[in-house]
Amino acid sequence: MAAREEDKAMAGLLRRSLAQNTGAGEDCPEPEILAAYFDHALDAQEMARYDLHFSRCAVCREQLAAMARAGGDDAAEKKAAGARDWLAGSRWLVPAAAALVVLLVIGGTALRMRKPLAPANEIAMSRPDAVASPSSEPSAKSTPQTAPPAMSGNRAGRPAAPSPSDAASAAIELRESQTFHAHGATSAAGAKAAVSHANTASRRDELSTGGAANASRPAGQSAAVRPPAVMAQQTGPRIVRGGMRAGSANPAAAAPVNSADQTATSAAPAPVPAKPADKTVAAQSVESDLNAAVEAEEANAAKTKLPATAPAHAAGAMNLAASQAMEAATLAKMQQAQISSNLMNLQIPTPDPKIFWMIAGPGAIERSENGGAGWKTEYLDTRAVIVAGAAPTAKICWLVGANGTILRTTNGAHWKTISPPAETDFVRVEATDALNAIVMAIDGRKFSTVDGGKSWTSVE
Amino acid sequence: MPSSPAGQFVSIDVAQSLLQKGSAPAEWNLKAERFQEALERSVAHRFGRTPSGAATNATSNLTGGAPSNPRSNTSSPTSPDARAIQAYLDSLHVADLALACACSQGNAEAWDFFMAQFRPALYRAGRAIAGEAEGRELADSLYADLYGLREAAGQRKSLFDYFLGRSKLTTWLHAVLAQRHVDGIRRARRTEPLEEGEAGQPSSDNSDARAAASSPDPERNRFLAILQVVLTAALDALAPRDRLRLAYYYVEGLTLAEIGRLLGEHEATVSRKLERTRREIRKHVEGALRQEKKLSAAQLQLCYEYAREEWPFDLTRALSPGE
Repeated sequence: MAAREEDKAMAGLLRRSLAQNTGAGEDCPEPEILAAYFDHALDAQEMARYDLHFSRCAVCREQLAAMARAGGDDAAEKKAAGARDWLAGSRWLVPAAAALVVLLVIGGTALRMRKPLAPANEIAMSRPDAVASPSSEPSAKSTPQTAPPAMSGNRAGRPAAPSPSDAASAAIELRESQTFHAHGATSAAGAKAAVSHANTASRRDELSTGGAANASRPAGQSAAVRPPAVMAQQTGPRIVRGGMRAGSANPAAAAPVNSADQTATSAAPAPVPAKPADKTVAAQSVESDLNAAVEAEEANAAKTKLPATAPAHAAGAMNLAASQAMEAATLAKMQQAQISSNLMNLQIPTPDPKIFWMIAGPGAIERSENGGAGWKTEYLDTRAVIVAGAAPTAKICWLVGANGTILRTTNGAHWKTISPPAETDFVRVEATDALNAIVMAIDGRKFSTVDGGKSWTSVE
Repeated sequence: MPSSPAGQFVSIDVAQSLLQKGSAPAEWNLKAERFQEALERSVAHRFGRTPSGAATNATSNLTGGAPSNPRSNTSSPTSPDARAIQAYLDSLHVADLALACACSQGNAEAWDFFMAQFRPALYRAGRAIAGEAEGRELADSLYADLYGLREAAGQRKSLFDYFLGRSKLTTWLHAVLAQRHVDGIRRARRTEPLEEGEAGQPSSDNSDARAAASSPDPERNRFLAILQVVLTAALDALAPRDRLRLAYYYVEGLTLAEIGRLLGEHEATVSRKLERTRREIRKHVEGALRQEKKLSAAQLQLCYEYAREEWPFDLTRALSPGE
């Protein structure tokens, strides 16, 4: 076993062992002492005594940790300081504290960026309009439903990009840093194909116009649409987290971003007009949400086939429809795009709206159980790039990634490496529970398991 | 409010000057005598003479106290050093203490000031501690107690009376919130012991159990037990702060910055020390496994491998009651 994996084993052991409440008695200090400890106001001897107690007492530690999350909060302190100075008559400190709060939030966000991220994320991060406009995302989505395809892309692009040239340059940037453009074009085509059960020939047509000859236009459109949504999704939780942790004075601002994010993820099952042309548009725009992209196409496709069935059924059926519709070559391109986009941190929703996972970089995944306010990082047995995940319940989650990486947790905490059906890069996973899952390789092959990955069957 | 004999530690003049230092507005109507009582209570708490009815008994219960901190349960007054008291008084957050005092008295102006200045931060803290939904409730639950709706022995008792001025008022409020939250969670855990088991899908538990039962190596549990024993010993041998740092990181899942805030260390220091402690533990554990437990290198590898896998259900349960 590699040394790093031993470290990982050690981390798990440490977690288990340290969680034990060793030697904690009835003598837990009251909040007055906890507060003084937190403010480093105790004298050296008291400090040493409580360090010892806290190092053994899980209850006190939990309280201190909660305080650190709430009040590690320099922002609140700044604010309190501002209040005191206000008492003394110097009101200017209050706005100064507010400015500091803003800085802290930004700083907190930046700190959370410690993991390697795809360039596009940095581009997105540096786009103030995108950061500041969670509201542009819903508009991006709603516009296309009423507008013809060619117009919708442009209109939707506008909120994020003030002028056409901005939109174009944004599109170029994105195209250069990622293969977004192939992604946008091919997935739109794929959706159309899936929707209409189209034959391969017509799809090729679609691809050659959309993907090659006319490449820049649809790509430009979808890329222009994408940034705000990407931001809403990717920075949304970050802002929430940075905000909470740094003690943002601005939880109100964080909340809408987060809800915009939720809107995006829940967009897939939303009712969509039944005409294929409209659907393509919808797919294109909804696709601006990277996570929801594939689901959206699938949901749309399923809608035609099963107009009245439950979303759950739709999801299963769709899966097949979408996969049949995609050709291996375009799929690979699309998935390449998805891989790079996923490097920006992918959220994996669970049925519980307050609980979700986020792929946090090679070998790490984060879990939030409170809607994104607090995150717990878990380190995986692998340093491989995790590409996608699926969480059929709040505690069960499957992850797939490069180099035959498949992982699963059944208790929300401990990850088990599943031996893969093939030594290839996996780009997608669908799971209904701990035992039943389908993984898709980068070359388009799919494998299913009904026994939690002990055995795999190739799916046509 | 019962209090220690007036002027035992703090003269009225000292109280007066500290009150001025706290620059409490006149409309709070805070009398020096009242402030003096609060100071007395704080000093008594710090130096070990707990006046009846005031702060709780936590300090007196703690063993291994400093020699300069005599805990006289007898009536013989061991007067603390006057200079120590003076230094202590100088270190207090008198403005916050004055506010707490005035609010405890029920002064409307002070209460309004408190609500205006602290309420938003309190909600924010509540949310950060308990999450969006319950955070507000958690913070709201504090107000009744702060306002003093509860009566004890015929006297209105405000939670503010417990504030000693040793920390910022904000920090203290956070501590109270954190304590209530953690108490609540632990109570809920006790009353719903099955929750964790139920949440996991039955099918998965079964499969895990089967995996454990059909484990090809019968020594698995023995190795895990050995590993656990050795690791516990290694953790016990750590300096308290090192152990604390590890626990914040691994159990509480705090960020390096948050840990740094708690321990008064720079993030980079936290990171470096965590790494050092990990190395030490590793060395300790492997040394013990080889020498005391006479494990071979291959067996050592096996230990790690077992530890990486999902643990048998009951073992995991037993080992991590805190999770």
